[in-house]
Amino acid sequence: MFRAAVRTLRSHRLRFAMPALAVLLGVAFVTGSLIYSESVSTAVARAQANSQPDVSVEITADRSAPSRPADSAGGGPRLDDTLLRRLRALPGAAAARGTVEGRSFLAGSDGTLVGDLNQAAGINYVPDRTGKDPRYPLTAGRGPRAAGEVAVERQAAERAGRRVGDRVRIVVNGTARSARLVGIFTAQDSRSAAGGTLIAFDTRTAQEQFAPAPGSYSGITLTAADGTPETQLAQQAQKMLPSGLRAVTRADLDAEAAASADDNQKLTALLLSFAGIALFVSTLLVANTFTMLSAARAREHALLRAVGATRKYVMRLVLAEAVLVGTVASVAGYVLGIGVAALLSSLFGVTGGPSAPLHIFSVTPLIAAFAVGIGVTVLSAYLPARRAAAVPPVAALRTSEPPTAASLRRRNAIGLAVTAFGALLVAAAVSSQNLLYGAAPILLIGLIILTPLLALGVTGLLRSPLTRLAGIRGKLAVENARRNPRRTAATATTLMVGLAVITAVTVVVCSVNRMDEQDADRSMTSDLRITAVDFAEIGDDTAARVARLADAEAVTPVIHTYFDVSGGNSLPANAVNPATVQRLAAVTVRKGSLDRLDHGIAVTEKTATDHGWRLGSRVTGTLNNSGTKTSLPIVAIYDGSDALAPALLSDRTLPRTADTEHRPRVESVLVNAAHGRTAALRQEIRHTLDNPALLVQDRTDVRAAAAARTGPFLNIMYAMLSVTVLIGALGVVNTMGMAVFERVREIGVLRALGLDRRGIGSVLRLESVTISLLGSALGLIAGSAIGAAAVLGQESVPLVIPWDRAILFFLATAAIGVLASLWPGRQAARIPMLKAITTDTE
Amino acid sequence: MNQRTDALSSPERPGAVVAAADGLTKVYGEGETRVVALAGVSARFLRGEFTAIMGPSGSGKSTFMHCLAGLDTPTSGTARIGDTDLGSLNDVQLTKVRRERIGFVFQAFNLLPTLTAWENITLPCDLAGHTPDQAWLSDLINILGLADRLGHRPAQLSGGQQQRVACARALATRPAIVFADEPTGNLDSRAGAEILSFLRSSAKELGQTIVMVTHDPVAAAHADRALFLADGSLVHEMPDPTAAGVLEQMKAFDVSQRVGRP
Repeated sequence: MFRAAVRTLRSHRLRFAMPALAVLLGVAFVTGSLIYSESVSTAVARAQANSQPDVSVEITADRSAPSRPADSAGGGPRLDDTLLRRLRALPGAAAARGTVEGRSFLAGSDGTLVGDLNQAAGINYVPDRTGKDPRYPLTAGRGPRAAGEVAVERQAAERAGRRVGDRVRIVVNGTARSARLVGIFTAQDSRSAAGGTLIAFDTRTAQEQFAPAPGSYSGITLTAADGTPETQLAQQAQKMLPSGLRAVTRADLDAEAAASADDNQKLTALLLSFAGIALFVSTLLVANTFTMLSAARAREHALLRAVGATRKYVMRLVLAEAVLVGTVASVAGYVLGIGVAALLSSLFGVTGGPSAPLHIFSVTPLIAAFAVGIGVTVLSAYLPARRAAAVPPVAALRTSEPPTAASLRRRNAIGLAVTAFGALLVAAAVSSQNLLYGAAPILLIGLIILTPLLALGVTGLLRSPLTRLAGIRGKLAVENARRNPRRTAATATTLMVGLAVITAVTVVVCSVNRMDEQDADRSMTSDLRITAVDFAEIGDDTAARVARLADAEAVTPVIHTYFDVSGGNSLPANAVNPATVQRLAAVTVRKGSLDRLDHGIAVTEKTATDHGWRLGSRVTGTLNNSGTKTSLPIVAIYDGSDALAPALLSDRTLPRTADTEHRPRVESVLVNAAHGRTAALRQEIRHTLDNPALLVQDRTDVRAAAAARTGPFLNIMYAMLSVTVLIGALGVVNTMGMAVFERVREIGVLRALGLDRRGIGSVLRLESVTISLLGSALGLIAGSAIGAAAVLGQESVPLVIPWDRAILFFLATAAIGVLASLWPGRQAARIPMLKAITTDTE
Repeated sequence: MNQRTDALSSPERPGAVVAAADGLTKVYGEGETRVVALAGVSARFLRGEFTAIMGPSGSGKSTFMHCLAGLDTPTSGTARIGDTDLGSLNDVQLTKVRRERIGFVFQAFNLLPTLTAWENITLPCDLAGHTPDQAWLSDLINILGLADRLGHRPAQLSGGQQQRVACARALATRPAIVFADEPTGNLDSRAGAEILSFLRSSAKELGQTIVMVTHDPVAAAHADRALFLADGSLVHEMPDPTAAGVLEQMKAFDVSQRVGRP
């Protein structure tokens, strides 16, 4: 059985190449995603396990405990030297150290921040008796001793291009400053392993920068003495800790870190769903190929039946071929998958960090590769195999053309019903978003069933214009496309699926982009706006420093804080400069005035209504977790943009606090320039702040940034969907190749009657483009509908149909059609005319 | 007929020479597998002449026709249509000659299944980008009795009808010469007779030059003359052949072959 299958495969190598390639691509996508994802999680787990091996137990604030006000004097449980000494004295503890860490960024020689900003950290250097910190072994220089000195982790220093003795630019708490690089160290730390930069400060400086209270630590880590299990040490420590602090074992810390690293899983799920789409399209291609082959080999199968083979034998023979094709595709796909994993690793890998080593052989991807490769091929070959087996033995004696295919009536009826149902569901999804996940596939499957009818309709319409345009060549192309509507449809739909998903994604992204732009336009009411890059912050004094510039006409910070109203909820509030805010932001005062905001609070009309407040009502509560009660009268009721809702305070009302955790965050600084001085002012601000973690943007920048935000996402989507489109293109090549194979005789006749090789090529090209564009048009329409349903279901997102891109996609599929006909065209040109016309029928 | 072919006509012959073969040789393979299909065949075909090429299988009659029709390239010798030496043409030029000056009728009809009878008939004109000569075509269609079949696809036509469509297609461009390769091979005797009498009358009445390859003596009897090929050589020419005469000649070959090759 398998020997017969192998022989068939050999003699029809080219015929099986395309389905094998399609499955191969799908398998590569799946295994690549799995290998990459496994490698990343292994690397993350290993980095975590290797991180700070001296830590057995960590003492931190217990975040699960009810938050208690920590006043500026540093009340509540404190991680300080007293506690540190007592913990060090525990019988199970070999060592204890106070750690105080926070965000710190390092600028490279070109002035921009280096490394993964989310993993950038400042740490404290704790020298032992020899003056060295065993946790951070130095490779050059010495440890930092004073405020102006830092040591930097080796990879970070390399990335920044700095050596011992250089001055480095660092950003801490939103302020940039220069420091002398006195040492370079290595660290076993998950953050540096993930591409983050580590900057070491002396403990006093670190405490000033990061400690919740003066002289305190953000955590204390214990090293267990030999023979003491970490759980035992944790229990010992927990007993002596004041409430509000907790001792966590190393094992629990690692588990927490692993659980929080779910980005990787999300990415894997996304990758696998795109792989699924690609595989679905492969299924269509494989099924189509086996159908075409069964038709071409009907006589061969009938002959087998005539000499005594059972139906089962013929069916098994075809399925054995499928198994072989699937196996070859799985093996090759796995190999290619390793390449895909490497590609993914370079696409999504940590910026500049050491990339995760790929685990080339592991169980899950191997099983997945073979299960998916063989499964998909056999599954899609099953129906064609059954049809092949149903060939009557007498067909072996027939010499005429194969009998005409069964009527499409039943298929059309089912297709219409499913398409209509899918369309209804898509429409219904506008009001219930979750429906879309079911509606989109149903609509597409309905269209797949219905496409033969659509193909006949569309090509019927195209017949006369194409004949007028391309003469007999056009007519022949259209007629060839109409000749087997099932096949034309199967080919067009392989392209349709990819196009539909691409279009849907594009519609959604473009719509969201437009919303972002509109939001940017609405919210950006000042000439300039200063914001921090992701994970960074703006220094408290930034607004004041900008205000001192000559060209700055009006400046206000926007500081996010919150007001815990007594007996009520927390009211988010924005602290601004009351004197300038009305000039800088869209704030319309309905009642009262912002003049007295220094001694009160302003709320939006909606907030006032919700709480039953009116002008003059007093709002009592705790401001910004400060621990002291404040009572503020409502001095104004206003309407404003979402960014400034629901309450306004004066930046002077805000309590000063050293508590870094509860410090109000400066979200942005809004600036108006003196008339005509915007560009100049922008330069001045950049120069004055000289902070690579800050963005100074004008209206155009903000708009462009809003629109650009989705760019990388869309490109990644396109990259992943291009695999699906590629498989669709292979489908077109496949069908055209098969058409040439079947029409050898006709091509010969046309050549004899006076169509030259180029003419033969152009007939094939026109047919190929017609089929491709049919798939493209269906995909564009279905994708737009699905995308529109997704957008319309979201409030406040305007629907944008990206016509320019749609036209581009349409043209791109036309190009695919042309390219897909190149190889079949060459095959056709090579057909020896004489042999073609003198061969007997089949 | 155009004037160039007239210029070629030799004074001692009544018609103009439409096609000529001069020492046509075709050799397949090399060394051990070397097969000589044509061993230097020369012949002339005059305007309005209906020639049958006869010979047993393997005699080279089909190869001779293919070389003369520009479907195959001879190893040596020249094939001319009018005064055009086919050997001097590239593929595109050769295609053009086939399209404009040669008509074909095949044993297996070879109509395009996707086109209607009418579209099949006008196919050579369409390929050449000419507007078909409507009056000429309607004459052809009437003679062939296809008027009520023009909208049908080949699959909806009988074998005889299909071959009649093929004949109309071959004559549609008023070619210099029509080559018919076993045109009756796939037809029953009645349908075959219709085709043969059409070919004959188109030679007689329309002045159409026709070269027909056949192994059927009855078919050959419709021709003005019969050329006999054996083992790649032209061995005999019979004017106004009769079925009985042709049969005699063929039997003679069989004997001579058996005697010649023990």
